[in-house]
Amino acid sequence: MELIIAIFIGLLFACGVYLILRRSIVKVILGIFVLSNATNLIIFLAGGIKSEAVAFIPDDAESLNPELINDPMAQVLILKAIVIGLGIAAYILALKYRYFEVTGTHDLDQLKNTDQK
Amino acid sequence: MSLFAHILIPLGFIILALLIKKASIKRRLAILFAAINFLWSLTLIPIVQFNDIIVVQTGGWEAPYGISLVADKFSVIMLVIAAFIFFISTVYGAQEVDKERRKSGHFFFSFGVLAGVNGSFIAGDIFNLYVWFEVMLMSSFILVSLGGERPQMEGSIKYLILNLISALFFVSGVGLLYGNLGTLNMAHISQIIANNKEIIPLLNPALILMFVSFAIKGALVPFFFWLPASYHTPPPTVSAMFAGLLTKVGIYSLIRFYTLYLYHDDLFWNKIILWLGTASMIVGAMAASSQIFFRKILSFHIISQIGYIVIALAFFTKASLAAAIFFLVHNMLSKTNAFLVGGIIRRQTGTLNIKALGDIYRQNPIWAILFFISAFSLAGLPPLSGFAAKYLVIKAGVEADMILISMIALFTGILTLFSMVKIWMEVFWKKVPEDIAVPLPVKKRKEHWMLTASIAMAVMIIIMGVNAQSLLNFCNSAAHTLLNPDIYINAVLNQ
Amino acid sequence: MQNIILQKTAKLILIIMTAASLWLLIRGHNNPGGGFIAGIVAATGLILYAIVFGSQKVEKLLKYNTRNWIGSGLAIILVSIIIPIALGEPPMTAMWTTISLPFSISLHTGTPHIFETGVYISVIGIILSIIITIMEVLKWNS
Repeated sequence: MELIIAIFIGLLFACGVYLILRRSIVKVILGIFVLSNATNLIIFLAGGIKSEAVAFIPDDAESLNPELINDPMAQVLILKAIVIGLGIAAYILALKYRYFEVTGTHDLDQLKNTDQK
Repeated sequence: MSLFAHILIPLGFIILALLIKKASIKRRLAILFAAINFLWSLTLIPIVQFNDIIVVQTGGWEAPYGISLVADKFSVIMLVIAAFIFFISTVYGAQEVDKERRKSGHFFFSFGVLAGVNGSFIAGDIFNLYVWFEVMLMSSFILVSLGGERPQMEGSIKYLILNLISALFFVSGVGLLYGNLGTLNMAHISQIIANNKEIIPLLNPALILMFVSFAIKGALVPFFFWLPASYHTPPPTVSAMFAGLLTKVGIYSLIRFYTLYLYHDDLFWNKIILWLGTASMIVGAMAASSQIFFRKILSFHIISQIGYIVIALAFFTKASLAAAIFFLVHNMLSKTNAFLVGGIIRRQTGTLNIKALGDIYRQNPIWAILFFISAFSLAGLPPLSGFAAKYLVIKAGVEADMILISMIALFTGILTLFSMVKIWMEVFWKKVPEDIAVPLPVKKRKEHWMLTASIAMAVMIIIMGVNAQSLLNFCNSAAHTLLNPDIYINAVLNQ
Repeated sequence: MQNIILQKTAKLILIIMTAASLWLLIRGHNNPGGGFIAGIVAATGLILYAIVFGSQKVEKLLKYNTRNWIGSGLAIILVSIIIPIALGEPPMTAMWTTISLPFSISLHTGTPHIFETGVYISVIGIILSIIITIMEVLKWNS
């Protein structure tokens, strides 16, 4: 299972990097989203995964078998990263909208004015 | 408690700004809260002088399990200076920022930046550091693009995408580190590495990801492109605040990481940091000398100054670490003030193209003097703070047998002086060129609060230059704590 | 959208989602759930309502504007942080007490509940402010 997820993360990173290198700003934004999901999966995988194990202790548990507990910390970190991703997604789409209103283009090559002057 | 207030004060303002509608009340509240934040940070100094390190374990959970907030002397000095800069830029911005921007939340988001900066200075936990970075970044994204003019849009897209990539690198690094060690507490990680030195090659992939992230945030040389592309686009208040606070957080984290973890693998890391720092120094100063826009020259100089701090870190002696902290403080003050003066000039003349400006010294000698103080402090003229800072860095370099790097640092000082003299000659000294028509604004606008803020900053620079010894003593004891991470580890883990 | 079945379903779903979100909010501390998830569930119901009836109707339903929702949520969080500080504990410590109510019900509650309620309110405010702004700017209210 780890191997499959690792290969999948690699694929996601490749997709993200490819999208980020495109000229259209929409694709760059999509690339950012793909990359942020790939990083969430890295945390998930690095925290260690076990099948058929949950990340919390049931109310009526008398004793604890560590084999049946997933590490909750990694999932907490992912939750926070997702929340931050939500905020960034909202902002970046608003920025894109405003950018299109101001410049009337999707092309990142039109961005060079501030670098030249 | 005393540390936690640094998060609660910005949070308090943010709540009030959400609940109150009137812009004029918000402006007063912003100045009030910034002043409270500054005064509160001053109360930390005696505490930290008395018992070295302040630790707050939030939620009552003991160190490796809970989230700890830690402040040693280095954090405290950064907190104080950041609070001072924030206070000054709030007073300045209360007058400079136009009403449109104030209504759409200029102060709201600048307190977001303050919360992020304060949080990163006192975070004792890597993931917490990441969260505060994000808080700071989110607010700064919005501040850069607030107003929605075309150059702002262009600048903010570059700023946004490169900084998001740095955040992704950082969080992947955190994930890998957690997978390897099973802890996120900075002191605990340092202890594990110190007890088991063979482990660090295993950690290097994660640490490299984090290092690249800090290098992007701190604008070291191969990663600096977002900074000169975006810092000259927002209103001057915002660029002054960013110049004073944001890149310095990246450098703060780099120093913290180097003194806690990276120094164990000196052979690998020292060379990287040393040469990146040297390259930043040269590239920043050289790129600045070809620019003709006031704020753009200063933006490139940020990169150059960051280089000085990083080489001082790479020398890694007590004197050089103290010099790095001293330089950081000096740079935050002088750089912010140079941007503030630029803002006043832009408000009165409507442009910052140094070819079109001129003769400001005769029209307004006060601005000229203010700029003189901050610019020549950056260049390192004797009575000002920059002289002591550069002298300390180069002296530490010579003492650490890094003669070549010290020579390069000296040479870069000349380049810095060249661009500062260029601004001085073009903007303040020469006659107004007749063939370039400068669109003068019709009515003169008030600027007394802006001037007051800038004068306060200039006075601070002079005090720091004249009275360098007492600050240096504090920096020396901060460097002592940094060089002995056992003090930090024992205080946090309560051993 | 003038579709009677959709309108009735949206109202029903809003009620169910709100009830479910409150249940998630209360069971949160020891079981899966909590303020953030509950807030998202409640906001989802409201978003469906907004898609069917238009964003003005949701703003009327919320009574105060979304900024005030976020602000009061954060204020409640601030209260839950300050209570332990005032009692001399480290900030954000979970402090529990049992309140006995009439009809021999005893309520085991504490600062985490206050905290989660604050998160719940502010998450509803944040998500709805995003969605309402998008709907107004892109003119989806026809």
